[in-house]
Amino acid sequence: MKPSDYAEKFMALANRELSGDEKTSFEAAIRDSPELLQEYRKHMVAHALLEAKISKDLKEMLASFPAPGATATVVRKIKPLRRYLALAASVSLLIGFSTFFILKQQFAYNNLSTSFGMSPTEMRGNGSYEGDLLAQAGKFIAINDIESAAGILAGVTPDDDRYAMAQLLVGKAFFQVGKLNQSQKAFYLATTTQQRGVKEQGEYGLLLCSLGNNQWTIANQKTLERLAGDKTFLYANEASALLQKLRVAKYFHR
Amino acid sequence: MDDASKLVTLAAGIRSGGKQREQALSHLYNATGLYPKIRQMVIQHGGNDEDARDIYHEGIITLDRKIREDNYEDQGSLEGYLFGICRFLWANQHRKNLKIDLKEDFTPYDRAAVENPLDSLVSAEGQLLLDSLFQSLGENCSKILSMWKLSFSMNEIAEELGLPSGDNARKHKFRCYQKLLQIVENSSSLAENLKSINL
Repeated sequence: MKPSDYAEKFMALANRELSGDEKTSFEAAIRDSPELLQEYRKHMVAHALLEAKISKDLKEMLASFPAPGATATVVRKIKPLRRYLALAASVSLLIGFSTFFILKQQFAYNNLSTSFGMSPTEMRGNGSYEGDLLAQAGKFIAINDIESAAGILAGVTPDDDRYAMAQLLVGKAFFQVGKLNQSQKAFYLATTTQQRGVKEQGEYGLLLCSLGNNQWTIANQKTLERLAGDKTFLYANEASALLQKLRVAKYFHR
Repeated sequence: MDDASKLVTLAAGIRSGGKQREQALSHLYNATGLYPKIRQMVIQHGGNDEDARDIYHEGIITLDRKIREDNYEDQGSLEGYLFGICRFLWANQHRKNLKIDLKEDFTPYDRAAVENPLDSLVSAEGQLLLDSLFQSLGENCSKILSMWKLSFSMNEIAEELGLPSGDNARKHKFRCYQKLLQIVENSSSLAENLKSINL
């Protein structure tokens, strides 16, 4: 029995085309003949290779399909009126959200602190310092040279009656460039004076620093109300306007 | 037709081969609810979307082969069978990635659905070897033999390849198959593997 005599039969068996007695008897013949067994092994490998080729082709076919999740989505047709209503609702929602975020930004504490700040170069009620250290420092502050201004103002010592005013100026200068910690410290020193006008400006400066740090307390609120109600306070108008804004701002900071 | 009946019909379509198989596989691929479950399983066990899609593809390829080899009996759902295959494939893949032992309790049914010594024979040879073997076999012969293995009729093969008749296609198939056997015999790496195949 030569393997070449059974070429068609090997093909059929390896491709699962044989059945019944024909299959059983041929399998028995293969088991009994090492020569046929060796031949059949070749067919098994040939079919394994064909199977691998088929898997490779199928893999390429599946890869060309869209992602399975994407095809499962069913889009329902919407009636025209509903579509307009849906569009209107979407636009309203968009406007609503945009407005909310714009207002939230506008009423952010740190933004309010810069909107109602004290001008560092403005020496309200202090024209008498013309020509002295404070005026020189003011010139440096005007060109944003804060370090030079601070250097000059450091020459005004605590025993000098201009000390509180100098610290107020330092506080305003550092606030202008966003150095809130240094600003806070200087404003605090300004509040230690007995000069009411300077003390109040120092207090107002501290409130602005709190806002700049996005912090606001009940005590801050009471101080601001007091300053806004004091007609002699140099920044009473700004304090009043800030108070109004804060009534709205509190809704964005819950 | 309910979902279960549809899946049984798909299995019959794959089993009958030819164009029905291609249509059935396409339907199975897009069957609602199948992929999300497999994706969820893969993601819950440390995979991502890409892994899920790869495992889904591998699962369908394995399912296709098992159905054609009559290793799937229409007992239980095709969906459950595919899920079991994908679960095993992912656990195996994940184990390889993490280099840990497979701890999950898989049934012999799950393992049998996936493991195939001839697969490892072919995959061990590598994709490049496979490509070069079929390149030496020629494009037409590769196509004829693949279609024959996928149960296309000789008339369909003749039509696809522009041959005059089914009989002519049968003669081509025989010659191509002999050529493939010759390639197997001449490949030293494949010849080595012949010895390890137990019948």
